[in-house]
Amino acid sequence: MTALAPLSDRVPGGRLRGARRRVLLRRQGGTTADPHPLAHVDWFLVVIVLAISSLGLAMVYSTTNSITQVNELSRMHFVWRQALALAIGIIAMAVTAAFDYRRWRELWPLVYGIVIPLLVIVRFVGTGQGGTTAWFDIGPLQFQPSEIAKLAIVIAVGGYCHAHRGELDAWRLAVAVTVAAVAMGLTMLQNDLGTMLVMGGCTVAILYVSGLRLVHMIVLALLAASVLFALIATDSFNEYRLERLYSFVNQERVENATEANKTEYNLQQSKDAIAHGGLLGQGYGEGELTQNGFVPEQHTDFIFTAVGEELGFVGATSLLLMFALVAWRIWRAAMVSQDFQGTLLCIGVLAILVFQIFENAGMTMGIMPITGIPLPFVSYGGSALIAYLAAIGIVINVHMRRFS
Amino acid sequence: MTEHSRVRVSIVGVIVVALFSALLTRLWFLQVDTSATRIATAVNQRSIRTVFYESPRGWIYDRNGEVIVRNRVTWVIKIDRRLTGDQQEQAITKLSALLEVPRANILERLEDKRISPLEDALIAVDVADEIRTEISEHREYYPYIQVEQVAVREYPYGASLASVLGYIGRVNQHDLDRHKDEYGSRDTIGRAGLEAALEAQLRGHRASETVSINPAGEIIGDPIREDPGKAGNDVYLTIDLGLQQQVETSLLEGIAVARRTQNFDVSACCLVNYRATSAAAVVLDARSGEVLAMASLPSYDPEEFVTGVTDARWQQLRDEEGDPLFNRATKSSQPAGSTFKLVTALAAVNSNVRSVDEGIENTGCYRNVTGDQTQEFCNPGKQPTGGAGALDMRSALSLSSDTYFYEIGDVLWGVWDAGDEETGDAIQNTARDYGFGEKTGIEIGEVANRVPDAQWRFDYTHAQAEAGVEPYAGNVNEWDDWNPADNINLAVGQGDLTASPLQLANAYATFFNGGSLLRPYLVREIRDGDEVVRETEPNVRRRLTVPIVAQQAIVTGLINAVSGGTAQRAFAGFPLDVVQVAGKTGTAQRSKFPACAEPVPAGSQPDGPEDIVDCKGDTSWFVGVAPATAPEYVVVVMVEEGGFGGDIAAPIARQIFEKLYADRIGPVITPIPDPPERGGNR
Repeated sequence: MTALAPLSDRVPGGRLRGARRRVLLRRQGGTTADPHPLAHVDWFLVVIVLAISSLGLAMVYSTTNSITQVNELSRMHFVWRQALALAIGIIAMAVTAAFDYRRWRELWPLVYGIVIPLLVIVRFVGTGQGGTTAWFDIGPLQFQPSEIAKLAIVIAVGGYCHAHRGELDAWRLAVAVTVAAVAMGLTMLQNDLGTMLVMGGCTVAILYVSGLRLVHMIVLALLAASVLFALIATDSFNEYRLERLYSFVNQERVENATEANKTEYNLQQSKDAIAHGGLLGQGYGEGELTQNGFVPEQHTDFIFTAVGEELGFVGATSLLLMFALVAWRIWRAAMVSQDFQGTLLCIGVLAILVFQIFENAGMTMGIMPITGIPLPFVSYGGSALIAYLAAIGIVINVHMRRFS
Repeated sequence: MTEHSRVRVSIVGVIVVALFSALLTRLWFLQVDTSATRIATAVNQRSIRTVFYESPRGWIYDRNGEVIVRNRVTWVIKIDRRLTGDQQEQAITKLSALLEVPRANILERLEDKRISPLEDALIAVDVADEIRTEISEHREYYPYIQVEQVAVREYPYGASLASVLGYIGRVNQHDLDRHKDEYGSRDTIGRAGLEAALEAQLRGHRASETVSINPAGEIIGDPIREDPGKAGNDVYLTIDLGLQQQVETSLLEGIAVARRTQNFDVSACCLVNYRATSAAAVVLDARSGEVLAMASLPSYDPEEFVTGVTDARWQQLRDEEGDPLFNRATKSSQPAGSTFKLVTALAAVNSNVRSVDEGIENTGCYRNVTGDQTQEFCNPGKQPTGGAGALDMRSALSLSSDTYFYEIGDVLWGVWDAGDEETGDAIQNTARDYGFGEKTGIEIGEVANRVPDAQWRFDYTHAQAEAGVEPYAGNVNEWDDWNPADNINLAVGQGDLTASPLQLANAYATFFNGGSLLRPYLVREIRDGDEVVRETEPNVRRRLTVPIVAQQAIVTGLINAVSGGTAQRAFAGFPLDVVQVAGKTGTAQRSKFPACAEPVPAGSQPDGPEDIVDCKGDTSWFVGVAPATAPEYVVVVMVEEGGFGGDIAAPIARQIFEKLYADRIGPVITPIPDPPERGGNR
């Protein structure tokens, strides 16, 4: 390391502020900056994420009123499970934050090599619901490998692209795409279209930031379109899937849940519930549709409807703004990252979260097709919550190591 | 990070901002910029249901407070009728084994077409505790089978009074359409008799619970709104249960006696026992119109209907000889026979064609000469009534002389034919005054019956001719005249006159109470708990003037009929000095051709096809009133195909009077003697 020039020379006009400035001052023999990562944890991000998760717990409680009554479960059945997952998730977040992300430059093939087989195994020993075969039952919790696989793709593709930064030619691009496509294909075999699209989305984001050329971008788009066309043409989508897409295109009012129009009904109920909330909402625990279980899957995929009905426009907007703050902190971490790998990891996580938030909230409001993906930190579902907290851990990891 | 990458990360940031903006915009349009009230209404309608529960039906008591109809809670077994194939097979097999009933019985109930297929089929009632426990403890072994607790109607006296009480059944689509918001698809409704007539009182108001439900139809949380409903009102009848039971016992005894009596009359070829297919009786309070007893036999047990009868059982009840479901006390249409002579006698006096003291020559036959045609109307056996000698109105009534009344009918026809229709129709007008040919106004179902006159005959024959019925079709002009024979037959309660026991009882009550035509009634009081909601007052429908002379003569004639006339034998030994009974027997011919078994004699003209097909034995009638001088009760007994009025109906009525006046004459019920072997008077 070469000796640093005096501060006034390096930073004319005092362009640097905050922690960066303190580090520089310390390196110059000053007293304030501390290069140790723990001194630079993004506590703001941690607090917002935990706040959203807590709101999630409250909404899970509110939305499981009818389902616990009907199935004669304890009123706290779902809340306790979600709280347990939250605790495990905080530990996971600490672990992924503590483990220096730069070591993944070498270790990403190992991560990838562990997660991909899980996706295969789950096909044969896993259980499923709503047309998917996606998880292992482990005690009271369910483990859904595709949630971890999203992170694995971020680490693997991010790691590969970092290794070849600035020289992403057609061949290397093909390798990167293949790395992602294997996981996506296996996810598709589980009939989990939503998760596959999330994986695709984060892969595209990472490749884009890595310097994807315009011509490659067009080729990739055409490729994705033809794969999608092939899947539809060969009937690889089961009816369940197509019906959901159809109901998105054809949003007419339906009054009863018959087998034939379950999804349309679901969407109708969802929109009605959100609209029912109005400006200020019906009040927590007071939403008629929510409390009476009118919106199917309302504690998992459709939990946003409960937020809409019970907390109203004000509450739902607050939640979206909190998500926006999270996105901002992740984006900021991407920008301030000490190296390009950190940037790619943060962009990957940002893409996963934003894609899911937009898709999930969008489908409950009828502006996106219905796919079975949860609302991050809020929806009931242990492995997803743990995976997102782990992903936030990676962002914190990148953010706090920007000086070391 | 290169500057290039920095730009691209920034672009990603812009995209993120755009996506969040899209979500917020959509949220705004969905939640704030929309008519939230419309949605709220839709939400409310969808998530709320009202569940109804039937309230307990009112009880029915007799005039002394004896419970005749009540409710009882019992366990029943039901099967979902929508089951098909294996599921149904399985359910039937298991239930058949458990209940030890043949599979066919269960299948029959499952396939009953009279109830909606959406409704569960009731398989067993009063399920024993062991069976109930067995099913509820092994629910998985008995799928599609439900054990439920229901309140059912209970009739502790079984078939007694059944024709008055009626029965209940499940509502059908027709009922639901008629009373839209009052009944649920599983509710019960009165189907006949008082159960039907007093439906509004007995039913009460159903309870309801408004609840929140989820899309699966499951109830969530506590009810939003509750309506406790109201139990049905209790009904207190004018019926005296003890008397009612005596009436039924006496009718049965009379039927039994008739059935072992040989009949000379109906079939000329040989001796046949009277069939005595059915019987009815009415006991009326002549002063108020209260019905103290009303019976119709054969009867049925209304409790059979409580849980629904099967198709086969229903058909069986319908086809059974005597039609148990038919209340013949109010609905039968019988020729009144000689009991109608009261009306003819009154008509004669009212129209001044015959004074009470004027006598006629007592012959066996009455001869009518119209133009070149001569028709003979004869007493049975063509013998003079009660021996030779002149007959006045008193003796004509007590001895039941047909000849005497034939002549009145003929004379009145002559007056009618001469153009004085007002006077000429005296019999018809008097009959109508006394309530014949119109409904009495009693609470339960009844028929108006018929008082025939020239207009009726014209309308009837022409209607039949238009419908193509032989022999009217084509030559209706030969049939549409009101002939002397028609009026002559009417004078003795034959021909086309029909009446029900209740109408006859009411006519005699009117005459004996001094001319007040009352509305007979069965319901004395309706109570809501201890509070009397409605009390029936005697209702005089018409006040008639009964000429004193006629009244005295007729009452004397009817007293003599019991003490020394056609009913003398039936009342032999009855303490008439303590309870003075007046009465009139009747032996009404159901068939114009006495030898019904034989072919219609060549060349003879039937009065009409309805007379030919109705080929039955004589109807045995008796109308009694006591005490004759200060009338309290009218007793009418009718036994179809029972033979002579004096032989069967009168002894039955005697037993009823013995029960009515047991406190004055002692608790003796005189057995009905076997009739003597004779022709006798009608």
